[in-house]
Amino acid sequence: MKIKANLKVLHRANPNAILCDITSLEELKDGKTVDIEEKAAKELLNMGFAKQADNKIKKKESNNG
Amino acid sequence: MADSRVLPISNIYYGLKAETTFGTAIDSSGADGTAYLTQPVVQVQKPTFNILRESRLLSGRGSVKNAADTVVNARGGTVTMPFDMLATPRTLAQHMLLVGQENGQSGSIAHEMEIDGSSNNKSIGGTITNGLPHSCNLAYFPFASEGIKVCGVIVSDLTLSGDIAANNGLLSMSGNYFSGFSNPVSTSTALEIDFTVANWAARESQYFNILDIDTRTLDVEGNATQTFIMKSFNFNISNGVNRVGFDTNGNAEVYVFPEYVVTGDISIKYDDEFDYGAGNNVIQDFLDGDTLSLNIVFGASNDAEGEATIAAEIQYTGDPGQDISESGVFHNLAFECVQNSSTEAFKITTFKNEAVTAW
Repeated sequence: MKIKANLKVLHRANPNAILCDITSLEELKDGKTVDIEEKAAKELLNMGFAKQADNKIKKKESNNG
Repeated sequence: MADSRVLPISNIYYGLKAETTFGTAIDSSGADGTAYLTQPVVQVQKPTFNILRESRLLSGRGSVKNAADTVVNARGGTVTMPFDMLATPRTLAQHMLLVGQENGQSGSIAHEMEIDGSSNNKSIGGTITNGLPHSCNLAYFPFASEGIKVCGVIVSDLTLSGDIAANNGLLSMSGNYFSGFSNPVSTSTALEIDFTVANWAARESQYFNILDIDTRTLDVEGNATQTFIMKSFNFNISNGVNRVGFDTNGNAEVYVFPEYVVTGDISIKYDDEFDYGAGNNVIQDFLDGDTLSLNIVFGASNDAEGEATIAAEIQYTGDPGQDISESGVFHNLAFECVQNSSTEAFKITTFKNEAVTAW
């Protein structure tokens, strides 16, 4: 699941108490969108430390014109 | 031959689970399969049964008491148990509810507990709806089939302590559990219980960091919401619970809360905002009996774990003392919380994205 950090509160997260791996956590702290295991993502969402990233669907360019 | 078994204190743990019927075991079918919420304490203290025991030296017995002349009565007693732990999002919200018997929820989910003279339950013992009023089954687990289950558990008094020089700057919480269900029966408080600990919910390990307090304000004389530099604070909340009545087993029918009392103290730096000069004089506030607003805020919005807002209306209960150290002079301000018109004597809001029914 793709999530993005709630940057103003992520510093409150205890890294030892969450399922998110340290590499992804660092990326979240950098403001990046990360794609992590659903269970870990849902935990961060539930704790208020992250929000779900928008899954923007790219529109296919039309070939008929 | 003597037995070599040892029980390390760290092997003992305990859990809480909200009751749906006051003072009744959630699972009394035999092995207790309840999914208790494990509490994050370091050393668990044993529940203490405070029952009635009469021991008399009757006339004609000579100069020593006789075994036949003592009476023990487990009916009408209480069970108490102290606790001391670092506050976590769920434990803080639940213990606030257990001592204040009041809960308001907003968003997803900020839990609010206020002491205001009208919102808090004056008694409990009737129907429980959606976890309110709030009482718990407490499971004390030293070893398989040696557990103690205490029903009708609430918190009689709770102290919140924040000190930048203690507990690595993490908020701690201590106090006492109380139950009026002292007579062991199979459907309520009971001994020799076999808890299914595999079902228990894990301890939380997310905390409240004192060094994360974004807003710290206190009124002084005519100046509202002056920002202070803090060393430590304590809030003590007690509800004066009494057990009343007795059911067919001699256990309580009602708990009565005659007075909610909130006292505390705070240590703040002597500086231009809090001194002995005109307009900022903490001594004058004491001499005038001023009511002052105190705000301590861990994060402003209460939308993530580790955030909490404490708002109190305080009056100093003694002359502001001094704490003298190499960091300079600090004021030691002891206070009690008072209802100030429509502003609550004490209010705490904290985030935990769980409904009370999940506890």
